[in-house]
Amino acid sequence: SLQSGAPPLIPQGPSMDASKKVDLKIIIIGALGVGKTSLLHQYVHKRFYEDYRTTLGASILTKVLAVDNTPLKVQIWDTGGQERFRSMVSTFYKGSDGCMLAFDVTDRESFEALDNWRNDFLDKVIPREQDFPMVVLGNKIDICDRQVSKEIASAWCKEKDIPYFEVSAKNNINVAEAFETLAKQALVTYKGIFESYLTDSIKLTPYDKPKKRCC
Amino acid sequence: MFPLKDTEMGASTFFASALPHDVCGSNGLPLTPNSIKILGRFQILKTITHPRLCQYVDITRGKHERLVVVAEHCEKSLEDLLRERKPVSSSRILCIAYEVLQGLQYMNKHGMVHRALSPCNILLDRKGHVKLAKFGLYHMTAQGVDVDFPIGYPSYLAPEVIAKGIVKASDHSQCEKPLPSGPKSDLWSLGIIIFELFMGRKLFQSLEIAERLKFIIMLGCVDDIITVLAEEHGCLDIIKDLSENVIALLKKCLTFQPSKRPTPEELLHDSLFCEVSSVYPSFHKPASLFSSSPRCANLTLPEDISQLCKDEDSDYLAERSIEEVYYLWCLAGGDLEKELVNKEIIRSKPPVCTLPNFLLEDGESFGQGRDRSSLLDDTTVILSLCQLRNRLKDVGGEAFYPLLEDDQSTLPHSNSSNELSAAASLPLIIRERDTEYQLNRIVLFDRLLKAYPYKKNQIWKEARVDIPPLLRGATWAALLGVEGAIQEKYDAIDKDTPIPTDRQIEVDIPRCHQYDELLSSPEGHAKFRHVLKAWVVSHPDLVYWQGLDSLCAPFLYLNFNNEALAYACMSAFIPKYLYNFFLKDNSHVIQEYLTVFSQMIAFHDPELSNHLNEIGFIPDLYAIPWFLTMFTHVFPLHKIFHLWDTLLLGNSSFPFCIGVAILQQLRDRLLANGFNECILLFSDLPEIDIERCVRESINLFRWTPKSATYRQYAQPPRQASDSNGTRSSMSCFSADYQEAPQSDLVSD
Repeated sequence: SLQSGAPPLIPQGPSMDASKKVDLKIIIIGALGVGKTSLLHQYVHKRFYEDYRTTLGASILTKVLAVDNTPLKVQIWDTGGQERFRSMVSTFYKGSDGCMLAFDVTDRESFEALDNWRNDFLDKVIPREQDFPMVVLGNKIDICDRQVSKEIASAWCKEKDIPYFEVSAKNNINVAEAFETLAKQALVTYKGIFESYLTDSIKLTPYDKPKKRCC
Repeated sequence: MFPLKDTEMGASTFFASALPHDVCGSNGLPLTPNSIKILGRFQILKTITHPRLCQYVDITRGKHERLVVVAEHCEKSLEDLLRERKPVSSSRILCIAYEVLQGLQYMNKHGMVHRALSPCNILLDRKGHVKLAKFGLYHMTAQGVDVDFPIGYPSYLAPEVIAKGIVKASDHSQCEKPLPSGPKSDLWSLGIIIFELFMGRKLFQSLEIAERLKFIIMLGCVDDIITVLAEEHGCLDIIKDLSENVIALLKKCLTFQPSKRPTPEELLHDSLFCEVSSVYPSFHKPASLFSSSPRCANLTLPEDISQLCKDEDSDYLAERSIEEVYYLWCLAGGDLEKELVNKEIIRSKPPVCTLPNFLLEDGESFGQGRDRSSLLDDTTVILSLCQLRNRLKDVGGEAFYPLLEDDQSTLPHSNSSNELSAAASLPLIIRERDTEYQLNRIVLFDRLLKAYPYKKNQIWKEARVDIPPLLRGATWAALLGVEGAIQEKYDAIDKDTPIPTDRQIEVDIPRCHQYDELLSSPEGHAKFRHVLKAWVVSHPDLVYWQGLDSLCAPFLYLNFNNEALAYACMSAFIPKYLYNFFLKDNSHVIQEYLTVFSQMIAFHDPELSNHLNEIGFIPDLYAIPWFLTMFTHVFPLHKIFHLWDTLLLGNSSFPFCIGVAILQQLRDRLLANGFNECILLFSDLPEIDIERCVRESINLFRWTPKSATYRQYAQPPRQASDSNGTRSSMSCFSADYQEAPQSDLVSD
């Protein structure tokens, strides 16, 4: 048939590290409806919109933030939360520098799913390293009806050695802190690479073959 | 809906109760405004069609939770009869009562209670027949919960209604919701109205409202309510002259204990109406378009056929349904708010007079109490058809009764249709706002749809010109080949038993096209839930993928009052355009689809394709929501309508062309940018000119060789052989005598 023999035309994903025009790539994952998009918008636009669309696949926002007086361009990838999309979403994991795990404190299942999301992410990120920069966000603390206590969530995070933040995208509690902690952490891990960027800003693709860039 | 005939269209207005500032529901999201709840509940009223009920047509939201309701209206009412101050005869009273009961019985059958029956709401048409008005107010306001005014008129309230007291909507304590009134409360009101009719004047006029209510409650202590009422109003002598039937009727209506009072249904079949009932033919609900029952079963020709071709100046517009006339009225520049302002129903105060005296930080204001008397205005403003008639004055009778030519017909085209074809070349956006053009299209499609499935081919042909927005729901269903017993099929699906997908659906619905008033109403959410669940339950081999909610939205919006049709359309759409996309493991289907899409980009735009490949901007990163939801996730509804009007005429390869057309519209920006800018651009798809997109995708489609879009996992073509065994049993379906129309978008 037409398809069977032909090689796939799709290249195997973008090589994020190669043509990096951003300094950090952060990805936010977690179960459906925990408020990933809201957190992201609260952080980037300082606004809480009530009527979000479901995120299918991924959507991306960027923000420049200052870490230790150094401007840092962060690209944040927002992903769809439905289990089924996980195989598709993992395409987006590539080249991440930091990962934000989100759950909803009023939804026990979303907390229980953290393990899966984390493992799935670590499996896809090569090389697999346990101390990959991560933070956990327990969202929706503005709602009274909690199903996951602060103690349980903190314990889980402590065991995995991940910083834990109780946040509210709606009331803008702790959101920026969580993002900035992750950014700093990612920065420390990749300090070496990052410094080569700063000292040699013209050599944008230090270890790749030179690419023609259109300006 | 029935034709407008000699009734009018009227508009009336009221306010929904405003929600307090900054109060959130249990999910942390703001509460749905009451006006949206009412708007959602109103929709079902449009389907309640009965000669004794004023047809509801539309509802719109204005500022400050104002609602404007459009319904059929007559100028005269029982109020006018009372104003003549002459007693009404017993026989006339019995007829009026019987007709009111017919109306009440029909609405009770649909689970509704009037609760505001009064002489001013019992209208009389030109022939003197009863039409009940405002019968949906109690229903649409959730038994009065969503408004700050009481529903009903003091003199006519049944004692049990008064005894319950008024529940103030502001105390949302929800501790104890009062039971809603039942159908029997309306009978008490009818009893009082009948009393007034034979008396020739109104009751309780000398009593203050509080006294009036007290008096009615006190009637529970008397033996003979009718005599007490008559004594109080000095009309014992009139009582004596009343026919036995009227007295019997009064006694039944004015029974103090609701448990002993009959229902409208029971009273309608009471022997006292023996004589009257024989005059009234029984009412048959006209069969709907997509149902298994024969649509012509109850057709009757007039005795004298020549009556059908009346004289020259007959009023063709009045033969159209109220819904159509209202739609055209709006197109011809009708503006509800303006009509109400002109009649001083909507009065605006100078802004300086509405400043609050005291403001809290959260926006709550004090010192300017709302004038509660203006919350409900009983006046109905008649919407004049002058402007519309003027607009249509050159439209001949033949436009209302177009000849449906067969494909082989050699009849010459009339002049008017030539003019129309000139109009057909105008941009779609202009055609959709042109009163005369829309009239022609609506009449034509209405007739074609009535002849569906027989006229299927012609519907396809006309749909290629355009689809009139008013009839889009039915037209889409016809294009998707929906037929058969859709309601029965839908009813047979278990939509109540909990399933694991429930939670997922529950989370997705409040995020799906919520800018739309209908879809964001609680009623809309419930319908979403039903249709999505029905689909999941009835397709065990497929699963719910996020995005299915978006896919459901256009069908639900267009068939808001017909869940079965929305479900049937969605079920027909998915195998045609999204075959196996909703398999639990759909990766092979999606991967192949995206690969073919990459090929299509390369085929039609090599330069763009090279650039996108070079920067690694693959379709996996942006096109999954496009195709998985057939663009319903990325475009608002009004754009989807125009996109799908054409998509439905194409085959399953057409979406590729739409995708390429979108990329081409953004071509310059994509070419000029690298990966990061491109991915940002598609994160929030920029404004796309949808008409241009449609035009270009048709072009692309014509230039695409079929082999280029070949997919191994596409829906296999239907085998001709498997139809021979089952053919006879389902011969009423069009698929047996005509295959799907061949009018591919390619052929011209």
